[in-house]
Amino acid sequence: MATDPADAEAIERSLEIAGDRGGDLTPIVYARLFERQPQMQVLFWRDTTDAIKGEMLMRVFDAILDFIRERRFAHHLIQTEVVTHAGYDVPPDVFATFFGLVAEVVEEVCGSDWSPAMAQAWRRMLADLDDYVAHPDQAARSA
Amino acid sequence: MNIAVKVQAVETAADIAATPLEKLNPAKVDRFYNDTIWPVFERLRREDPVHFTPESEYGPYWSVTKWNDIMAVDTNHEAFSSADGIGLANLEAVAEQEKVMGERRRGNAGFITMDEPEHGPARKAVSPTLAPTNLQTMAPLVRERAGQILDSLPIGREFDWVDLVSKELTAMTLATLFDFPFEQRRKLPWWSDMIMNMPGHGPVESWQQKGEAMFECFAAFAELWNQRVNAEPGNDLISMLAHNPATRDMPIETYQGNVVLLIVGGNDTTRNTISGSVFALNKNPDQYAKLRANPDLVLPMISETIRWQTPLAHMSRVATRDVEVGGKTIKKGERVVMWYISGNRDEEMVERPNEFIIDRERPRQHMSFGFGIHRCVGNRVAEMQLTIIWEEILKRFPEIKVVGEPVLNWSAFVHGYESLPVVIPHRA
Repeated sequence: MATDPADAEAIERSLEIAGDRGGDLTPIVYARLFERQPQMQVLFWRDTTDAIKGEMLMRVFDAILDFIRERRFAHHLIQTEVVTHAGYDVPPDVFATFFGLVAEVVEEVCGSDWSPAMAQAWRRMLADLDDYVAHPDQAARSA
Repeated sequence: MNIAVKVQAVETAADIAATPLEKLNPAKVDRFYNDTIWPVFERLRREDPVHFTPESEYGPYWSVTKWNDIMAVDTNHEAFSSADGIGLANLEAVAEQEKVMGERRRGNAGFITMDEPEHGPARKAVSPTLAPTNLQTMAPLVRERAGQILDSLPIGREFDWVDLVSKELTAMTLATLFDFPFEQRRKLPWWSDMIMNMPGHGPVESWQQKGEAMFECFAAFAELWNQRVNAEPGNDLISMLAHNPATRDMPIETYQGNVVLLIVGGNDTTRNTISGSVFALNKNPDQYAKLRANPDLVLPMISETIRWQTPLAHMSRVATRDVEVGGKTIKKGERVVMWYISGNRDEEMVERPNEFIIDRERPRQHMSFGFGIHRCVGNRVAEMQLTIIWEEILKRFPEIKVVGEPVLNWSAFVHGYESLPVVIPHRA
């Protein structure tokens, strides 16, 4: 199911505002991830400069932008990331947590510019994303 | 013995521009060997990003050349199968190899040539060995061995960087990952070269010799399997395969395929990035100066080299049904090549993509490890080795000077170096 164009516009707008105001969101997003899923921290032992975390977050934003518009690859990428991360003992619920806290941080950075339309659009998109996280089997999903 | 064959007439950018589009075969190996591939991919990205080559030495195939289209293919494993091989295979070479080794299933490179649901459990059998937490334990040993390699290099005298450093470091790391007899470690890159080359290239002199080398490799790994399967489970890759319920009963051909995958995958990408980094820094002295001035740039320099070099130029799939990619319909059964080497130079995704810039804003934005369920399982090991070797180089040598032209691989798959002559003028 494609994202509603009005929702896509609201999400894009919120990301633009967050980008303009928040600078690099990497430290705050990952601090929260490690707070909620502390077992994830050790996986980043080499990442002393936040470069790995930063690129992962950028890929999440790229995927969100593709997911809400053309959906050329993002839905499949999410499914396959769930599968490959399982090999490193990263459970699927980490993905749901991660997308959720990205939404949280974007909302905080947007501050008074965060609108009810944005809140609704993000809520719907997160539910849609969760569905791909919960069903990573492409063959079953396309059957 | 390395045999390098120079091709007489080197194609120019003008020749490529004049070739009718329908005749353009981007996998022509001499272009990779002569480093003249770039205008081909620039033209395809501009004029025909999803391009069909109806006739070639590999048979008919599609080329996908832009970042987002490659992502669409790579992440859609339901529509694009890996089971019939992940590289373009020269049909004549396949026939010759079959004469020596007998007929083997085309897609026989272990779990990378499996589709779901078989692929996931088989990959999961080895991924804990290559996971970040296990690498943390391995890192001090890799650092110690990297130091030993560098401390043994000649000073003020020309030598081949590929042989003494790139191959040696990957051989040491692979031997550790396999718990392979350490004194025989150089057999690992040698087998990798024997597997990946055709007669006349790399160390391969004849199909017979190539076949014998592969049988020798399989026999050595059969012996390792027998040792591990009868011992307590260990942390090495062979023990993991021998004791994991998903892989312990796999057919011998599948085990051999996994061995090929792990040897070649563990060898070629890392070794060619080590060589590529020395070459690229020499071609771009301003970037080398930046690195020397700020060793914190090692990590982004490694990522930039992985993008700039793209040590595996492509991966291929076969469509399981009719699928549309970039406005073209790829029919069921047709072969599709994802040119990572082109996606990494996609002007719409990477700013100034042909330039080697070690402090890019997004240095890790590359597709050299692929995406999707077949994303390189050893990517973190590769990055760890590359980071460690460069951290140790910078402590020891102010400069590694390339003193001659490199000889490149004869391959449209492995994009790397046969040899790279260098001199280290002095120690720090």
